[in-house]
Amino acid sequence: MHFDLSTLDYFAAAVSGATTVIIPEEYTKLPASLSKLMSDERLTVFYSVPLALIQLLLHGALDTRDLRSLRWVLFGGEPFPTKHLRALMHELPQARFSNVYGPTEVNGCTYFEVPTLLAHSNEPVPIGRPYPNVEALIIDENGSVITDDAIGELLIRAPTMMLGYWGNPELTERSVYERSRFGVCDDRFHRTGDLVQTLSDGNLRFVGRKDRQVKVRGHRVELDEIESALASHDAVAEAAAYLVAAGDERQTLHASAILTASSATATHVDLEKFLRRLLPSYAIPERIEILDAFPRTSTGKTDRRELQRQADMSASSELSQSSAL
Amino acid sequence: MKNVLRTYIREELLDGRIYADLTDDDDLLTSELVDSLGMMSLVTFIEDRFDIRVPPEDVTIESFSTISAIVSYLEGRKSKDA
Repeated sequence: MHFDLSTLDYFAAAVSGATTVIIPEEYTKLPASLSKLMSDERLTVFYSVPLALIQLLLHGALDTRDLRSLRWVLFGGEPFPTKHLRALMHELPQARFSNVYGPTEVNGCTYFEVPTLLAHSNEPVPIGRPYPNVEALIIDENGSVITDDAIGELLIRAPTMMLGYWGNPELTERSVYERSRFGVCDDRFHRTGDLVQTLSDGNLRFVGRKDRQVKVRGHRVELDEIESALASHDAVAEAAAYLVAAGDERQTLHASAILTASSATATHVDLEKFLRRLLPSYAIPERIEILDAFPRTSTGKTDRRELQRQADMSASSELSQSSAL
Repeated sequence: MKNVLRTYIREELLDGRIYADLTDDDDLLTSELVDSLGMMSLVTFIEDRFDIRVPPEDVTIESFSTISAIVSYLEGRKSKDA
């Protein structure tokens, strides 16, 4: 139950008189068995993280399964690379696709109904608009509310907001933003730590994590933007970008990529050339490493801290080797 | 064939974790032994090592949950291809 996506499966199905199919662990590891289960159970609504859906797309033998009963695919938890999303929507043309956004502290709070995706654009899909019972604010670095299209931190006030972090009142205090109302009561908002921007149609665009906005050689760089640029390469299944200590308190930009099975010949040079077309030169990683797999957190997200730790360790051993010479 | 698979699983997929007594009938999928990306690596390894193509629809629980299951799948493939 520490996985907030599961609350929809447990409660919404019961409320609407539907059946919840709980997927046994072994099915989550073999996408071709998962797609068979989805077909045998004639699933109608499927809610998961992008990673699981990408596995289903790349290894799920979808062309051999009858998934016409599937009418709604919801995903959330991390950005879904647009090229994979477009391919999956092409495989499941009858289904609606929705991007659900919401940190665990407030649960789902905005959503975006994905329209037919244009063939040439790999722009990430927006996170949409707040649910009707949710209020969202965007604030700048000084805590002032942003009303135009500037990038700022998203704050959420919702009935599903947590009371606090267990045994950690200081962290709870830091995560709350209070807005005075009528001079008597304060509205409590949760600081999501996510940077967003309001698009001209009113939908919110997810820019990245506030703590993933870093400075490299004096330039402000969004690590999440580098990841999504790298992931838009045809040969890349997944990407991660992070900072690595380079001695003298300097940090350099690194990235890692997992290639799709069919394009194992792409090299880090190909990827770098590709990034140079999309990003300013200061945002090009100093090193791009091709890996077979990424370390994962318990909810299946890429464990970037662990990637960073591994890179830090190999960087410091290189440093000590070179100083020994 | 079993030894090749067992060595690969033990040394590459369980990397650093000790499962000296991994048997042919241990469930690779439910025992927190191998994760989904590990299964994909195993399939790639089998394709390279035994020089066959394993189509995605064959990578199912029935054929890949234990070392014994993988071996009977591969033997079935060999007799079919021959």
